[in-house]
Amino acid sequence: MSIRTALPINTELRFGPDTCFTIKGEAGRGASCIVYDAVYQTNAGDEKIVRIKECCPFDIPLKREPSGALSCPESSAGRFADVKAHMYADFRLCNRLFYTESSSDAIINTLNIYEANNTVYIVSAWARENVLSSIKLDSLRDHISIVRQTAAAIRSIHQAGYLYLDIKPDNISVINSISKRVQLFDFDSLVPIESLRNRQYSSHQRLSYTRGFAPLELRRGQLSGLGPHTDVYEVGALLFFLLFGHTPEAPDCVRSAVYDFSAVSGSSAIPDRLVILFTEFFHKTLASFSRDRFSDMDPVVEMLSEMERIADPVYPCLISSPVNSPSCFIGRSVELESLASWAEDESQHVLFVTGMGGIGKSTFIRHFLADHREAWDSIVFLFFRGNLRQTITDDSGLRINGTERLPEETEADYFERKLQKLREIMERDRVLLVIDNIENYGDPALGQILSLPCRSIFISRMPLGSLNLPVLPLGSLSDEDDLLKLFVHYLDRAVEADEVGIIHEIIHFVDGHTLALELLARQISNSFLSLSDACELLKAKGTLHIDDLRVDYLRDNHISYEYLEVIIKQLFETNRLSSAEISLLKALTLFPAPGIDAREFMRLSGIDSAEPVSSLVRYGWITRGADRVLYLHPLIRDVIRDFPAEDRILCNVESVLRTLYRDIVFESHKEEINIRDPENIPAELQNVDASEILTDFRKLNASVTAARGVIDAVSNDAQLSGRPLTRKLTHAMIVNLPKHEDEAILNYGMALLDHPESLTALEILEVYEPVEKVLLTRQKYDKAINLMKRAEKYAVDERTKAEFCGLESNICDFRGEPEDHRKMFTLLEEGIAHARLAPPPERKHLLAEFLLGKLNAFTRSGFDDESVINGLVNELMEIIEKECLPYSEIRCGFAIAMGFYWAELGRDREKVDKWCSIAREIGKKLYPAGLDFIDNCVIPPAIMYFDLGDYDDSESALQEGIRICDDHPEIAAYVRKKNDLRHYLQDVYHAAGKFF
Amino acid sequence: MDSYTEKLTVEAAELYEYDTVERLPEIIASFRGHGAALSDFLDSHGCPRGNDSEGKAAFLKDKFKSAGIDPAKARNVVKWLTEPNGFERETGFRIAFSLDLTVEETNEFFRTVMLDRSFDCHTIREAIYYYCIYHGKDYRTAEKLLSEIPQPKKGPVPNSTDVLYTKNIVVFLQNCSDDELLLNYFRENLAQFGYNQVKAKEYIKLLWKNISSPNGLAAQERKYFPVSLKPASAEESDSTWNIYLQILGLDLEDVKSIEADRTIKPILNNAVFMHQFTAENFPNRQSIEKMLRGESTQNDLIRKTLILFVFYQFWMNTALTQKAHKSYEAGKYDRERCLTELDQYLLDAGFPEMYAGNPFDWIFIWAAGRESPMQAFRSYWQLLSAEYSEKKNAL
Repeated sequence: MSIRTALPINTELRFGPDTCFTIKGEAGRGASCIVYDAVYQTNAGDEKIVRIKECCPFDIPLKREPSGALSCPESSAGRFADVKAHMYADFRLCNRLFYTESSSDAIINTLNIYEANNTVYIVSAWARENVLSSIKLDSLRDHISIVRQTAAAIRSIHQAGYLYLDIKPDNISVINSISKRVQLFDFDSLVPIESLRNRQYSSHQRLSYTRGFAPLELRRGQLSGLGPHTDVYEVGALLFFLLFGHTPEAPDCVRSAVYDFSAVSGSSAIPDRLVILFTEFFHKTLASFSRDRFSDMDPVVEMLSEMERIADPVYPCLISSPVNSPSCFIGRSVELESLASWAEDESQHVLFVTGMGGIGKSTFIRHFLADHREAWDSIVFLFFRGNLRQTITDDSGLRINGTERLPEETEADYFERKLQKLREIMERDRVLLVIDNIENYGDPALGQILSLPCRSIFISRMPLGSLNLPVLPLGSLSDEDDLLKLFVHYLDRAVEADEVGIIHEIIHFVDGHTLALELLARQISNSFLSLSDACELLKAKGTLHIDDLRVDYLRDNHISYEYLEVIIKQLFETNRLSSAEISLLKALTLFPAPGIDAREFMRLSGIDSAEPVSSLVRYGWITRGADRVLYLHPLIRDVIRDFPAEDRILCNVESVLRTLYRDIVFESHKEEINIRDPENIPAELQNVDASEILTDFRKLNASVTAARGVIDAVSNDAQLSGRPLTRKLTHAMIVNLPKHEDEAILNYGMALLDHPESLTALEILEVYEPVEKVLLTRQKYDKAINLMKRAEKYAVDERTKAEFCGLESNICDFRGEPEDHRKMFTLLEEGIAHARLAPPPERKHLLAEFLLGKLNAFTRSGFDDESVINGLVNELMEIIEKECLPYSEIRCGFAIAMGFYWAELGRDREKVDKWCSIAREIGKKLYPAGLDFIDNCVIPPAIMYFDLGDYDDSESALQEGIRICDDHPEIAAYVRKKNDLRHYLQDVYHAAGKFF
Repeated sequence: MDSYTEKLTVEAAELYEYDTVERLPEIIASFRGHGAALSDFLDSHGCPRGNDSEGKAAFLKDKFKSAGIDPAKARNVVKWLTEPNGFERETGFRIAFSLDLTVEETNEFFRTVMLDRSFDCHTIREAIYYYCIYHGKDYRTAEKLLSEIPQPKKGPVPNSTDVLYTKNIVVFLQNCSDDELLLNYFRENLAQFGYNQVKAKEYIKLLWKNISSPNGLAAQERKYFPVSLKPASAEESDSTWNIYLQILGLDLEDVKSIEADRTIKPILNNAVFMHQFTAENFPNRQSIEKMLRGESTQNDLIRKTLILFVFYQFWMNTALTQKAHKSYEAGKYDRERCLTELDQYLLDAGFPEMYAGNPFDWIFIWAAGRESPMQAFRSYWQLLSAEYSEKKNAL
């Protein structure tokens, strides 16, 4: 019976006159040894730590004598001698590995081997490392790094000709240096690869391994099955253990294994890409069947390196907003204390900071955050953008690394996705969310934002009213000295003693309103006004009464603003700002906070020089944010918005509206450029190859989005919203809204159709079209018919009559009643007749659209009069060759129509393939976004193959569409499309007899 | 590999589907009984070759005596050596002690002779046997330790977080070489020895979930391979019974002549094409439902269920990768891959690996080696079903 007794603590192990180690305790046991922590004294007199491994096999009945010696029965003496010899061999091997250039870092430094107590001792250098099994690693990246380094060390051991066979946390120490470093320290288990190949290794020799970390071939003791792939499994098992907290089991090792990464600590931070790599890594390391594993350690190390890169802790995370300390912050010590108490109290999740506009709420919060930045992992400081959903979805304000709104994604879908991403990050990180200038506590998204697992501060001018939530109201600065300091700071000069009294008078006029005080000081500083003149002016107007201002504001938002406007307007008059400057400010009201890029603003508002803008920034009228973003303080913005809409101060506004309109029209009408008429080609495209002229949908969408923001900004401004240019821009915006924005199309469209003044009949009918299509898609046929009754009066000439025929035929096409078919043919014929008489330059395009409609209708109805169809095709081809760009929707539509013709009537598969291929080539250039590509170039070919009975090809086409959708699993539009495709696929399977 | 195992392995590799009717009864007859298996085992563990049963019995009795095991416990030794039906597990462990087997050799003994798992370390008795055999302690020590430990009451499996898994017990047993420490361990964890088969039942539940969930393997097979399956009752296709029949390739038509409630037992009784050991404890609807409820069942039944489910999981996953071609064909190395995955499940659940000498395992080893293993397995069931119908008609 073997009971292995360790040497007692403080035993002195003497290996010669000058070599003495003192045992400090048992560190662990292996199959053949007991390991001790020990020390020795250096010549300088201080202690150094070592590890000592004593040969003491568990399966030999050794007895510890009082002297410390191990006595071995005669019957086991031979076996004991073998183990000791093996230990000598291990020592030599370890030394050899240590001096191998590539591995010295990761192999323990064995110092010497000694004999005493009838056994053998190996002494190794040791530092205060931690054994991997006993420490907690900080991050996912650390876990991967440790495993990657272990794999690299094992690779060196393989290169030296050995298998390790016992990789486990107990055999790995982690050294904390600049980064975490690993070191292997147990080499009992090593087996020479050559001896396995030559079958020299006896199956009676015991293989060391650890259950849980050992693959099947090792557990079975199947020597011929061992190889580098055995260690590959163990490296996989090590990573698995570090991630999941338990070793892999059978279900984790089969070819079809799936892993639940939600069980991994901090799983919300695992990037999607890493989840895919982890799965692939485990499939290729943990496979029960060894041939399915990586055959050696090279690809293991390579893949771990890639995973380590992706697991960088900054991914994914919130990108904190820059929160700069204000250049001047004075006073408010009581409020700062209150805010600090709130920040320290973790049970408080939300705080509303309220107070009138311009009182310094944002400055107060910014000042506090600049001093308390370290209390949070991320601080997100957002400007309210009309509603909370828009505020959150605005990627320029709230940025999440690796997450952005995609062109096809609706705001509602992206809001939900972004909120989910935020929730995941906030569960991991300490996040402070600040939303500045929230205007509506009834915002439907407020509840969702309040439920986020973060701390939030909402800054608002509105009192909280009956809402029972923590609030910190900010009033005026009450300390006269503080206000004096503030005024002098912005006056930017020393004040004379006799001026102090005047400043106090001015302070009284604004009742400590910090913005007004700041503006006054800046104006006085930059104008001809002396302090006394300014004061006299304010006195003369006599409009500022402290109590009125504050009380009125709290009771009625609108009334209080009027008083503030008086102050600000007073400043305008006193400063004698030019109408050009006022015009600029008026234009900037179109872009509420967080504002607009300075250069883009200059382009849109038609300003050649930056000077007027810079001047307004200098005087404090315009606020310049990070990254050259310009915006107006809400107080100033509201006042400017109320300035009378005189033409002289609207020139920049007009420029913004006109430029945006031109941007949209230019991009959306590229297809109608006649390539054979050089004079008709816009200057920007004169030297561009025809094959390169195609609508840039990203650019178009950006312009449409900007136009929508501007239209929203002017919506409450009767003077601006009714201007002809605004209506033109609204028209251009509506007809170019992406089709998934159906709700917006209806809302903006119906509003414009109710007030279509200033639009031409054709423009009005163009707005009817997307609105009608939304109704038809929703199967609201009666509403669509009523709408057409309203539209009929705009069909006044050949062009508009053609347009109206198109609108009417849409109803027939969507509804598909028996009588609709015949009616549609009649309408298409009428449309063609009107199109032929329509004026150039659009005539040909219009005609081509109707001819295409007719060709499609023929094909679908099975009409097979070849001469009629040939006539149609020839006319279409002529127009297309002469008039259309190489990459145009009409060409794509024509190719698809021809494909249908050969599928339905010609029954010629080769020709179908040819036309589908042309459509795809055009589609790839035209529709990079994916969804349109599926609609135009994936689904039609699938239908053609289906109709031809080629179900496998039909399935392949649909699968391609599904794959495209799978690339965007988080976008609802793609998920809906994927569902549609799956339904089609079911039809294909059904037709192919793949169901019961 | 001994010649017996080798012969059956070759038979499994070389028997084609079209030959089964002719050759299968002959192969089934060639499986040895427990007595013959014990006899062969003794031949390779010190018993002089050429001894007849009497000689082998005397050899084993001597071994019992020298190992300090009561000779009375060996009075049926001739029966053990001559009858096919085997002997108690307890006897198996006594034989292991008497022959001074290692843990690995004991595992092999149970796998090849008993056709059963060896140590179930979630029972105190067998954990003590494991401890003693692993550390080279004799049977007397085992008996002494057993006499000092109270027997635990059978109880339900606790919540997953409180479960003491067998593998953890084994790790403890391997690292503990002190008897007193061992006894304390048992006393402290007594309640944990009132249940067993936890891991195996966990696997069975997980496998069944993979197979039977709404988008599971069975549903996918019905979706993508409708032509290959017999039309089971569509409304009930997700019931345990229907999925069970689907796995075996049977349908309601095949079993309607059975006058029993949703069971195929009559098909298995005295079937020419099925070894008796295979038929015993063959997984059935009731046993599957019982296991899914977590109720205790026999080791053999659990092992067989595990094999059936893993086999189906493996080949359905393989088939689904080629669903476009509606093919059940095996790819290169798939046979080895399947058997390795089976072994992994079995070993992790504490059961012996697949063994060609085990008639139940042999069916799966044979099917795995065919061009379309799932179809081959199902053709075997068609054979059994046809045999049953024929017998019934003859009555």
